[in-house]
Amino acid sequence: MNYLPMMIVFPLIMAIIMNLLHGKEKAVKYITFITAAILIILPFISQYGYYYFGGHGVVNGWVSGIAYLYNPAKQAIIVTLSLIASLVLITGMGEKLKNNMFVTLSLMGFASIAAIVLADDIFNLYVFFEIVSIVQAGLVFLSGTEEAYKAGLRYMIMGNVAAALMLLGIAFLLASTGTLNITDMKHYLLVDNPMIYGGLLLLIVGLAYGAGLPPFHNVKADLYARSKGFISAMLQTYSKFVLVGLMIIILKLFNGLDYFASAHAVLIALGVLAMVFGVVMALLQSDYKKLLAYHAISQGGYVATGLALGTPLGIVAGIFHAINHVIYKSALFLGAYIVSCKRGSNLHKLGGLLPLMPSVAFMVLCAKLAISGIPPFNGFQSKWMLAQAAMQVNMPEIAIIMIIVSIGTFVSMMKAFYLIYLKPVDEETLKEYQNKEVPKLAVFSLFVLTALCIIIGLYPDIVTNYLWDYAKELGVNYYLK
Amino acid sequence: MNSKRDLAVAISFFVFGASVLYSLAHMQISPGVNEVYLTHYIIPNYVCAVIFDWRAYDTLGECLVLVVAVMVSWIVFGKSLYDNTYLKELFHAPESDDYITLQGWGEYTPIIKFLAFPMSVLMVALGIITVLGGHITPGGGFQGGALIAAAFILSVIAFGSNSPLWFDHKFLEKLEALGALGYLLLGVAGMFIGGYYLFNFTEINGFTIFPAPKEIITAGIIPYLNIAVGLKVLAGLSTAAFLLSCEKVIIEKISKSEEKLE
Repeated sequence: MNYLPMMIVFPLIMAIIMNLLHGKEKAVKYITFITAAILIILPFISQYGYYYFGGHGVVNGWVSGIAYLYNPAKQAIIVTLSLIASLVLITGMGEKLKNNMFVTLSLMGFASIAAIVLADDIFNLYVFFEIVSIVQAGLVFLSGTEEAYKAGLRYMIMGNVAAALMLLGIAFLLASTGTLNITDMKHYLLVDNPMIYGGLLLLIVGLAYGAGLPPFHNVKADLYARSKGFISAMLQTYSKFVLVGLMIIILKLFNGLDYFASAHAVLIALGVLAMVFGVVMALLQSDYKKLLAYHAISQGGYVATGLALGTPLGIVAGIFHAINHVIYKSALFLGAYIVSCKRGSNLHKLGGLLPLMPSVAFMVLCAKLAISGIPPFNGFQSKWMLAQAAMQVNMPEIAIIMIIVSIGTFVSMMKAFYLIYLKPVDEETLKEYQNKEVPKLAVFSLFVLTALCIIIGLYPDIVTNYLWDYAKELGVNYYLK
Repeated sequence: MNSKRDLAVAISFFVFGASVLYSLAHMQISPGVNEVYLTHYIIPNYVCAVIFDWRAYDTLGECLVLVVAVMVSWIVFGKSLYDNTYLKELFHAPESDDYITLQGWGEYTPIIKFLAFPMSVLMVALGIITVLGGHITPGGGFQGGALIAAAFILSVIAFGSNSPLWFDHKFLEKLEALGALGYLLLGVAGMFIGGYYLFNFTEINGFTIFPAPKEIITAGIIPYLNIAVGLKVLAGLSTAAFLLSCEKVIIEKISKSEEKLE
């Protein structure tokens, strides 16, 4: 028996059960820890290949039901996703408020992202895209602040427009090709029909919204910034893998076709703009979580650019960077969560935390160096691959932009590190710090993520070996003249 | 500035509309996989066959959309409100002339009071018929559940918290979980019996899953999926309606909490 659907169904079942357990704190904690452990096991006991729901496979040459595709590349993505989800669930158990609703929404979000990554059916992808949009708004609402409500509401309003346009695009593709299955659909895209091209552009709108690319980057950054730190770690993981999932589908359908060239340019432009806008906005921030939020946007631009290049190396680099990024960005957001438990997130009111929690400071410093792309951390490996991919297709200007954005990232990260940990403070502030506790579960999660940054940085083949086969299948080599 | 913005918006809409119409003008319809759906008989209601058999997993997703929407409504309207002072200020605004006060609750005409309850009962009955007959007639779990929820809403609007047709919100919560879990676990049962999630099995150890005339014995788990969806939709929509009307409850609680402070 293939346990592939249990990756989605098991967290959904636990989410429904959790929703009934409000008020029973100990039961919630106990079951959450068990669920977090099982989430990590599920990707390893599923079989590769196509999975047809309801047993409805190929009939008269058409895939008649809903199909999933599981392969090593998707396994790497889902293992990373389940690891982050487990660590965030564990961290969340240290909180007091609304544990069961947090667990429910997190599990719903996890299942939806896994479904988006696995989907070989474009409408099923849309359905879970809807769920994850609502879940993200719900998770930011859990902060309970006025700014959080505003951020979530803006996100939902924008989501109405973007998701409606995406659905229109799906309708165009369905009308033109007669099927919703992506493997079948690919056979009917050779004709240069304006309706198919329109469907592609509308899909890109949904992609930009789900991933936080321009013009949705401000709304998405606000969403990250207004959540609790560990919830932000989960939210940015969701966005990154929505980007990967949707981009894989667009490449699978359209990569290599003649009329894809201009849409291809649009995708690359979106990635580059996200890189630049994100880092420029980050340099201006005085709120630590806002700063981290805009860097999440910027790094998302790296992923989009790598995948948009469409070559096997670009696709491997893009997916690898997505995996690396969710690891060290989650570490950074957990670090921000620990800091906010001390004294909020205004950079100009913080300072002098190094003596109080030197181990946390060290781990956060490692994560900051990782996001800056400095060896021996994982961020260096994937950014190096991204630059190589850009050079390979004769776009050195993109490689240069990537390096400049890395410098900007480093500058704002080191500034934040100084203001939080190194800046001298007065005695009263130090005494105030002493009275606040450090959430131990968050430190544990931070340690695991930091260790992963170093391990993947030293041995990148652990991840990239899983990605090459699928990238060669999707990618098309070319060289601009 | 307004005129420039209006001009930009107008041009944007024109370009978008023209693009969509241009795409539609080049439409070349392909029947595609629909031929498979129409030539392979499962149950008389072909739409229900697609929704609950061929593409039953999509329907699971749609159920969960509603589940999540209700949860988020709970977060915004149901639980978080008592912890936020700025919302207290908003809800405790001075009452204006067009504001329906608590004292004015229930001031409907006798016609509404006379007709609301029998109409509710009829709507519940119609909803149940729609759910149970989903595999042989148009309609199904979503439509039937919505009808029953509409009956509940009608009765609550007419009679308030004294409504003869009343679902406690904890009961609705359990009903929704029951519906969602029922759907999910029926799929798991399909994994064990037929090897695939949401496999439509028609019998277990010789016992027919759903007793039916031989023409529609192939219904299998479809009627049960319809029931699960019906329960979930009725609970979800009723909860959402309840939450949207809980402003008065909030005001009462705020007033009580303020009295305690004094």
